[in-house]
Amino acid sequence: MDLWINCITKRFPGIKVLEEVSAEISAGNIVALLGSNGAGKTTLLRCLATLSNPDSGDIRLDGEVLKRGRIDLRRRLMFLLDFPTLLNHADPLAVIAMHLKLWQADRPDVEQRVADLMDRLQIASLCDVPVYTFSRGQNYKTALAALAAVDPELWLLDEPFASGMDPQGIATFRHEGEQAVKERGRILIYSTQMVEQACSFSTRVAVISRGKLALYDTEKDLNRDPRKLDEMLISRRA
Amino acid sequence: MKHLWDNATARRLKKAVRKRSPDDWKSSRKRRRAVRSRWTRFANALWLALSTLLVASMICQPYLTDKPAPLPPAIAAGLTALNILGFGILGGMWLRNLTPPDLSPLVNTPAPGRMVYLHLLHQMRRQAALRALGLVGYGFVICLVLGLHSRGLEREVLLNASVACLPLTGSVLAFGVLIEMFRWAVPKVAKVFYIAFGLVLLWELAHLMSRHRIPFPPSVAEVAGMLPHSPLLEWLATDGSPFPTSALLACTGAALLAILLVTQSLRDRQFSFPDEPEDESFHWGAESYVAESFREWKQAVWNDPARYAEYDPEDVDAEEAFPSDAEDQDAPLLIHPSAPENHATPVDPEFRGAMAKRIRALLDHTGFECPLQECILTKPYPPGIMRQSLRVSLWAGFLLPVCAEIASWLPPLYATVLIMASILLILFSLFLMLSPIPRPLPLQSSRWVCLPMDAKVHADNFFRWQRFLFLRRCGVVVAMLTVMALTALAIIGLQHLLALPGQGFVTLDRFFHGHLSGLAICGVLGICLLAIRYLEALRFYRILFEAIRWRGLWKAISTVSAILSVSCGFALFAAGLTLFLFTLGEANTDFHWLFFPVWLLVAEALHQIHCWALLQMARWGRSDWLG
Repeated sequence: MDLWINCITKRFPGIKVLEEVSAEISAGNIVALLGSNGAGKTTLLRCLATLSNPDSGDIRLDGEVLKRGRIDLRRRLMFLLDFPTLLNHADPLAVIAMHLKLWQADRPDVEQRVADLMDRLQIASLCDVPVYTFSRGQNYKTALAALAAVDPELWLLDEPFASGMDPQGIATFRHEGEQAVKERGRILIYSTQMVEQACSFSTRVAVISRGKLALYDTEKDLNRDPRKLDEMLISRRA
Repeated sequence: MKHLWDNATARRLKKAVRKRSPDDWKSSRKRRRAVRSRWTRFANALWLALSTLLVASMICQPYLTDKPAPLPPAIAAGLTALNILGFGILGGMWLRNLTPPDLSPLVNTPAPGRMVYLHLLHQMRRQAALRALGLVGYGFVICLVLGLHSRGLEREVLLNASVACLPLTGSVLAFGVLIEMFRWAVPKVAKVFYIAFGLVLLWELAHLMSRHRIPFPPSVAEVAGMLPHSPLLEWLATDGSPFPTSALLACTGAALLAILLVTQSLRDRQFSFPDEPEDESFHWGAESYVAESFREWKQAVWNDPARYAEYDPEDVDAEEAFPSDAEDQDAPLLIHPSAPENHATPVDPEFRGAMAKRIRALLDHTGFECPLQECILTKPYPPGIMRQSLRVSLWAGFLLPVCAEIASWLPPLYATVLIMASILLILFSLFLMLSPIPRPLPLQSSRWVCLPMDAKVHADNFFRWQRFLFLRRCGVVVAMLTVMALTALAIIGLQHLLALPGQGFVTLDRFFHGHLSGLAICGVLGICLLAIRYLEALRFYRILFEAIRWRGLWKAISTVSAILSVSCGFALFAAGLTLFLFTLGEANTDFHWLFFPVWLLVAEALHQIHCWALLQMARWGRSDWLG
């Protein structure tokens, strides 16, 4: 799977959130989106998830334009919001079953995979409890389990490291993400504010500053000049 | 909802989890049972059933008891209609209390439109059917119980009760559905209901006043002796009736109060009611409120070059704890004015700490104007309202003696109407006087206890504004009194000039020694002032009840009881003082002019003592209230 972001621009009243952002991401990549608050990271993710429409430019999956009406293309991606919205009165397994049905990912061995995920995310003891009783971290873990069980080609996550998950949850996320990318050739794009996490858990780092893609580099490039990233983020913020 | 996923898949997943981690599965089942069997649901249902019973007992009693209706048919029909209206409002609100089907989880999924539509329809039908069935069931059971209670178990009784209850519940349901269709009208209909009920009560009062001469000085015993003549009270008391309406009302009221306390206490222990709407969570509410203030403040700063030049750059570090302007523009924020709708979890404690520090620093900051200070503290009342209040009071001062004079010349029915109009006029002017009570925003919206502010700042400010406005209201009352006296004198003068027989209400004798004397009018207005202060204290009560999360059930009950006792004590003390002042005034007719300032001082002193006692109770109920 290849993802092309072609010169997308997004405006909100009085502010240009994304300005001609272009990038090409091929399968087997983890991209960390960095940037100060309000830089446009989440908006970019929302555009990729078809929750927002770019004012200009387009996004293509394997050459096909990604739009909200293309259910078939949307089934190839899943977006985890920083505050996932789940069916409140359903239990986590029902939520996962719903995701499996909507994404048409009900494989024969999926139940073992779900049981394994529930166990590793430490939410097996909540599997029969309505979601509305969950904390934010537990909510996020449930949504993450659904994402990992569905295993779409494009994983989109908003602030997974600041999602309220405990270290075990974050470790599971990293493990599952790495496995999906390296073994199954998925693309994982996530936003974060944590520079160290971004450098250690990515194959490419993208810095968005005031709606523009200011940097799109590999980890090796960054390591050659480690101050580059800091200078960019700090100077932009000041 | 089930069509959103395959039951077979869900079962397979459950089986796999049970096989993989049996202990976790057991603990999950246990937890689910705890959630399901949460008896707060039962308490909620009981609460609803009892309140329904309260209303239904009033509706059904004339139909189901053997006792002939003591009320004239027109009034009985009016009261029944009002009750049906009230019951309909209750039912309609119950119906509309449904949370609309939540489709937000499906927005971020590739769910086809048809599936979303089917899900929506299914949810709406299911909820509506459940509620409607529940409503019919409640009404039916209540009517049956009442029928059985009053006549014993007979087939005929059952049939009669069914026949009586079906049109009632049917009309209620129809009314509820009507309300459901016109949601926007619900507050208006509720207002109409309460106003209509208030008018009925006023009619009773006016009727009594026109039929019975009110003694002077008013004696509590004599006034109380007149009350049984009220048909409404007779209807409620039902002396000699086999159906104990008053006892039922009292028991129901006590039960409702007990359930209210218990359910509130359970909620405070972090049991959430499943059908309780997500209120503006205290944490969210406060912080998003503060965030909004900060945004306004910052925008004002950045847009004003002069202010920007004065801005101390050292404060930039402190600013880092808060979101930037750009952040505030975007939806997924840690704090955002619409946060309670979008997010359901409280903010990070560290953030709260940083905010607390920042707010304290800002409030101590003197060199830089921060609207947050104004917002947290008292918001000034609308400017024109005092002028309007003065205008209405002056009109009331003029119209009251005129109405009194005219009423004494008219037949009883018209006199009743006129007296009622006068009472409404007084009430209207009093309400206008009441409206400019200081409205500190966080105090009003119960968010303030979550703000890391010393409650003393709020209290001091609250009382300061109250004193200021109280003095202004006193000025209005003095003006009203003056106009009233001048009008009465003018009427007396006219009577003398036109040589009218002195049979009217306004006479020179009454002006000096009777109902129109300074003592009487000062006394009546003094009572009104006391009532105003009492209502203000009640507003303070509301704040206390809303704002403070009481610790523990027994502490909650004891504190609430203590507060109610203080309130009752205050009311009794005020009543006793009123009688004492009347008696004193009667004995010292030469010093009438002294009584108005005495009333003012007494009203103010009583109010301060009352609020002070309330604050002490609140502090006792919540020991960490002051931080």
